[in-house]
Amino acid sequence: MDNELDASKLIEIMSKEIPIDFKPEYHDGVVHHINNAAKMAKILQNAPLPSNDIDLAPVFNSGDTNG
Amino acid sequence: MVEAPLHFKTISELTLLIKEKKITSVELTSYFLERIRNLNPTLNAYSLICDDRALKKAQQIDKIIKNGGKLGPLAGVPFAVKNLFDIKGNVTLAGSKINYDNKVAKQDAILIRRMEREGAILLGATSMGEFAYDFTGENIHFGNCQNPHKLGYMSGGSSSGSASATSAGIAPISLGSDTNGSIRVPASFCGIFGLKPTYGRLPRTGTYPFVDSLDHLGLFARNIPDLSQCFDLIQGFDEKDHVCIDRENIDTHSQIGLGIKNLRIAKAGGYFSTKNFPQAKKAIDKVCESLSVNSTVNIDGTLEGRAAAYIITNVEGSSLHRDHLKKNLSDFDPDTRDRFIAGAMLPGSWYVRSQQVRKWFKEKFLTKFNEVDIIIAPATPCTAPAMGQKKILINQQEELLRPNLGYFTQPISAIGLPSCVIPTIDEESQLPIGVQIIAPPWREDLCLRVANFLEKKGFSSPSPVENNPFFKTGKI
Repeated sequence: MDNELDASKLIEIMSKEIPIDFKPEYHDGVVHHINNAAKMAKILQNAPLPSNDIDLAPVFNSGDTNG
Repeated sequence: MVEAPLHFKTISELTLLIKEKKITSVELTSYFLERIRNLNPTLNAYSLICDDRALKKAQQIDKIIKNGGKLGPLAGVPFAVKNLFDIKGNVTLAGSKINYDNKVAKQDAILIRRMEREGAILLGATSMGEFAYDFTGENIHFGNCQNPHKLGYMSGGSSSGSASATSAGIAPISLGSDTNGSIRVPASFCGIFGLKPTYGRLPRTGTYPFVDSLDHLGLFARNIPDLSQCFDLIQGFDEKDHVCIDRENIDTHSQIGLGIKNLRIAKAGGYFSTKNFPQAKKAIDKVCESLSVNSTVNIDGTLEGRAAAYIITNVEGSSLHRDHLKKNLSDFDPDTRDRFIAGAMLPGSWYVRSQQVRKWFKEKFLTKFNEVDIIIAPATPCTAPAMGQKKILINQQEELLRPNLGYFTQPISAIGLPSCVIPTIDEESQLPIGVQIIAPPWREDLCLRVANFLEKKGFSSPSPVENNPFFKTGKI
């Protein structure tokens, strides 16, 4: 994530895309949670993962090591 | 030694009373139903009381005894389940108004069937946070679930009613679910034992989901022998849960008395440092002193692992409720609604990165189990906050309370490790606060051995009767 996310812009686009009846009173709460998620996304982006590792855990398996 | 009242007796004590015909199953069930009727208007721990079903089952057990038949190991033991477990003939609410008009369940959840197969008696369904997206025990639709240790304080969530009921002695055993800490947080606040087994251990068949790749089922009890016995009896593969792993059941109950000799135990450091969490620090220090633990293990990547769980929860949970967001938006609790809406809008690349980081974090964490067998970590940052509190200090930063009560539990469930919460008491506030005993995958036996050792050292479930005047009256 190189640029700051514009939460209000995201809400404007995505509420039409989903679509949901987005009321003005939802705005501040949703912006807050999107910004929180953006903070988490920054942490994830900075994780030093091996660059050639693209494995996902779409349904997580806790593994069978040590047990 | 003062004998425990009937509602705080252990499973072995209750089953013995029934087997020796000192009490009938109907009498015991009626006793608990009466106690629920007295306490539940204040606690709001139960959302459904199954009087007829429970008494019918109790009659069957009494009939078996009369005829000299064989009893199951849980014969006559009452239990409760979080209201996301299907109960035949009832709507599975999952704490929501949206589900209120759904069709009734055609069959009980598999874990209810397994408990009843062993002779246990279902008393009812317990309150929970809306769609399990909650750590507080607050519910705008059905009322808040109270902490039996201090009314007006959070029971913790989202398995709030199960923890509150077992703490208050209106369900000796209860079942719950844990996606990011929903068993461990309420166990910590309500002063009881809570086990979140390894991801994929207990089948989720017949329960309402939240986050498929994080959802676990588990149990609450007031002591480790009860917890381990019930855990052993409900294990087993079920092909209807696509993440349930087909492997041999583990016998934990016969192992709990083995003690901690030869176990390498360390305290979690780094992310799990309690430097800025004084109540959690005291709890950890007491437990580590009792275990003679002096070493600390730092687990790199925990902050990132927790961030991954946060995004995965937000995105998967919102995806599950996408139709509800389109059609029933005004029927959500505003706190839950705003989180689900946000999750439905997040970029897909964040979710992909979360799953990659989660796998990376799991691999890093598992290498620590080459050095140690058990890791001790806080369960919650603090004791139960007052109902309505919205903010919390996390490492001296003011943060939203709802997402952060699971600060210490979320990284552990993110990678599916078994964790058992044991109770301690914060002397200053006189409120409970729990500590996590974390083991390698599939080694619930190790968690329960250490927990049992600590219980014998005095880390037992505090009785709300002793410090809550409202219970002393007997009636609300």
